[in-house]
Amino acid sequence: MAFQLGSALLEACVLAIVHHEDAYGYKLTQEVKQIMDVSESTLYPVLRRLQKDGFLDTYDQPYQGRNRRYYTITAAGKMRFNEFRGQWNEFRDNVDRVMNGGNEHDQR
Amino acid sequence: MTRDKFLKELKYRIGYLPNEEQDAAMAYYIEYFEEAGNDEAVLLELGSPAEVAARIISDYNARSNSMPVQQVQPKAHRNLAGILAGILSAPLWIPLLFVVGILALVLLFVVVLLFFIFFVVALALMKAAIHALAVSISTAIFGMGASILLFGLLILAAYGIICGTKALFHHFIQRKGA
Repeated sequence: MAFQLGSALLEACVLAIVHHEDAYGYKLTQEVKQIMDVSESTLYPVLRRLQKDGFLDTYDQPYQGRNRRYYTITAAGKMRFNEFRGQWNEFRDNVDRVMNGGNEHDQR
Repeated sequence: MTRDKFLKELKYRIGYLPNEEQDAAMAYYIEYFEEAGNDEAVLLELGSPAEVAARIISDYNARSNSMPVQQVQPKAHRNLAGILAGILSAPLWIPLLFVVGILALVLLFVVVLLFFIFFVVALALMKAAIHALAVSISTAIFGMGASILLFGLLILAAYGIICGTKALFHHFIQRKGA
């Protein structure tokens, strides 16, 4: 893809996925990779940062004799996600308008 | 490269981070290998341990720089020298408080010692006066008088000190409250 993906968009996507359902590291990575082209090593720092900022929490659940570390969204994370969603919608509408040849004065 | 070699090198490269950070990262990547099941594909995707470590470290540094200073210090470096440096760089009022405390203790000790000495002297005077009764009544009465006078003075001094301390405390507490 030609478009550069900032870390904010990556954080927003991770929050969106976890907002929908708790997920463990590998599954999260696979889901993010379906949306955007990220290397597997980019995701861990994002998860750690979101966790340290209080937007994500973790819990361990045994699975086949080992542990799966699940990520779950916190109340602060939900607020952050809503913020991201609002900004994304605004941004998407603006890009849509200019990309699809619409006259911006029509919309205002 | 094998999974074990990758993990070993990764652990080595993030070795200077706090233990908590190391453990979290290692647990994540060990779990990742387990979940993926295909070591070769994961190794290809992840790249070299150096790259993975660099991402973990740069994220940690970015996080630490936005945190309050005292939390930045990695746990591994907190040895005796670190503790000493912390004490030495503490605000001035800590050593000052220490000195004032010692001075107060010394003053208290001196006052108690003085009271004790005068008490013993008064007691000895009374005893000597009783013994002197057999020799000279006037000497004995003089000694007893001096002893009782000393006792009275001691009680007066103690009362004065207690009242003075109380007044001082009240003064400070009121100033603090104001």
